[in-house]
Amino acid sequence: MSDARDTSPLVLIGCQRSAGAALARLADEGRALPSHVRWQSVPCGGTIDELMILEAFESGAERVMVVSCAAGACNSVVGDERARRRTAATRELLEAIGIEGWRLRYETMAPNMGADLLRWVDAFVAPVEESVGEA
Amino acid sequence: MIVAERKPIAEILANLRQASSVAVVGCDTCVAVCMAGGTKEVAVLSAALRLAARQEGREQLITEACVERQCEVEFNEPLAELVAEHDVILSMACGVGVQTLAEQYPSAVVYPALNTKFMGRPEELGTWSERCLGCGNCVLDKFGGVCPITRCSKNLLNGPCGGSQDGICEVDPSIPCAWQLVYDRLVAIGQLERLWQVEPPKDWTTSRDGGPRKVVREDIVP
Repeated sequence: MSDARDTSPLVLIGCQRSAGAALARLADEGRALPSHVRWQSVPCGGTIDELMILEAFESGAERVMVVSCAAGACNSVVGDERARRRTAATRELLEAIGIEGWRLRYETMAPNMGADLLRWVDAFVAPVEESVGEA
Repeated sequence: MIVAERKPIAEILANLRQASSVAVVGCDTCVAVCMAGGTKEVAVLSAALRLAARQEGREQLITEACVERQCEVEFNEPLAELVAEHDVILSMACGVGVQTLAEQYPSAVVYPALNTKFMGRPEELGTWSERCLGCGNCVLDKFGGVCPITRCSKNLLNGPCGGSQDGICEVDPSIPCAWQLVYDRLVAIGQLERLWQVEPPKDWTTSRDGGPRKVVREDIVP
């Protein structure tokens, strides 16, 4: 397992009700996202689309993580499913233009999963086999 | 409306790699409704093209624009300066819009970004289905408002065929049998007797078999 941390720009796009709430709880505990992570709050995962993700990459992000509420927990019922499908479609588009699919990641979470979110961000690096190939 | 979908990005890129500037021009009518070529889709494709250029180490100016109806020259007139300033115009309109731009600006290189599919309607969010082939001689009055030319996989005017099972077409289980739909509609509107009429072979000269078509209204032309 690689111990190299990737501190290149990362954009975290997430629902304010889950990821946003989790970040607020972390702040209460004196914890926060690393400085290379830019948080982009949306009112619901269902508002996340191709354009939002592509613009994140255009703005300089090397990696984008999309986070919606857990299945069945979306306040708008289908926001998580829409976020999942749109992230998958955008990953296909990225791969078609030569950007590795691993650079776009999708997760679901609850507001009490702040520690998991920090761990995901920390572990969001190139797959091991690609890292070995590049070495 | 005209329904279209974006071409594979690799096919689009193949036409653009030599260009130093590309204007992506959408159309905010039919192809905006089918989420293929309106303002939003222009922004998405443009972002993808900028990222692709960056990824490949190319310098390429990508400019976004959209008109209300690319199939009418009046709506495209404001594009004159934009067209002159770019190597390639990438049209996100239907085939009609692409050709209108190409005719209107003869020296411009105009490429299509969409595949124009059919005339149809939205069934639900994200699903569009064909309703009209533009055969030039509408028969919807005879079939309860269901077009067997378009919706029957075999274009039968005297159906159904032997492949209709439980209201489903044998060609694809996702296709309802058009003749079941015709029957149900004629029953619903009390016109089932129309099916006693045997339809003669269709005159396809009003369709594409007669060559490119044109409608001229002598009472309107200048």
